[in-house]
Amino acid sequence: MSALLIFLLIAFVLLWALFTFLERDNSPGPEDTSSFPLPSGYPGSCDNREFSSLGQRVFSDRDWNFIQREQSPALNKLFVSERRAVIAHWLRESAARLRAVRVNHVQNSRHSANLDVLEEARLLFVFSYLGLLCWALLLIVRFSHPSAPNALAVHFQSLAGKLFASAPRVFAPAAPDHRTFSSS
Amino acid sequence: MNTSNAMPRHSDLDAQKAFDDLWSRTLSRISGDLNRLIYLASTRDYNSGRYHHAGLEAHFGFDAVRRALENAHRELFWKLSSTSLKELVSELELYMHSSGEMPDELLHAWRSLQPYRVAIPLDADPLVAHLFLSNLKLGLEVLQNRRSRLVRHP
Repeated sequence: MSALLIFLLIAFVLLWALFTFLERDNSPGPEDTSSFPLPSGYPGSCDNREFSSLGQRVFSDRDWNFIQREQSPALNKLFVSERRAVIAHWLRESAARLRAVRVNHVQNSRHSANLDVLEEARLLFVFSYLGLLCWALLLIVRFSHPSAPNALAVHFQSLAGKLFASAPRVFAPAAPDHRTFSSS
Repeated sequence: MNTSNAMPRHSDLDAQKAFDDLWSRTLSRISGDLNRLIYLASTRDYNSGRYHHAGLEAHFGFDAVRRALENAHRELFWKLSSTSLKELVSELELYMHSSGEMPDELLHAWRSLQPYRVAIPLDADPLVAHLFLSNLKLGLEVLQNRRSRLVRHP
């Protein structure tokens, strides 16, 4: 019994350390943030904030509650299959953005004269962890309800959002901001 | 590549003026964002994808009007894509009532022909377009379900 308690305590401490490590703000300073282009690959593609809000939108249970009030099993079934497809699309897009950030970072690191080994190891860990989360979310959504992994999705978005925000241009050419009148 | 620096500044001003004019004289008089979106999509040529509005073009020029219509279309599309299913169903109801068509006929046509696909801007993000189409499909099924229930229990 005491061995189990010690094991649980160690596991808790390790998990806490892991999350503290991962949640560390790796975004650049406020003066740098505005100058970083968004990872948009084609005109009209979502910027980071829009992409993140889409994530919150597709995982939220607000629409599910609305559909349930309609009291139609066929509608419930349609909602689950439709939302699964959209979430799978969002996760594929997230994975593609992560891959692009990683490739871009590796290319930049090759030309860097003063590499911080610890920071590189941490980033490698973050990329692997996010990749794993992506797969876990995909599996959970595939085999349970689309809004089931809501908390995990929020955690994924929080981590990935920081990474995207701190990443330099990863897709080229960058899209013009569609809320301003820049000519295309 | 953003080429805004290469364009004369007055061009942006004209586009902004055309955009403001479009909202104040036309879009504000249309009730509902879905109605507005369908209207804006109808100003786009099916073959070329270019936007046209004769009245505005006479005042602001082709390029300014094209950009104004394009921006308004994108903004409304994003707004509707990120709206809740409940609000989207209300938008669909409003569209159905203002169209003047028989609700059952409109529902049948929209569910089978999916004409709302033409409302997607040309350069929309595929993920946003996917969410928009999926939500509209669900919204139409909600309305169909409500109508079927009305027929069964009048």
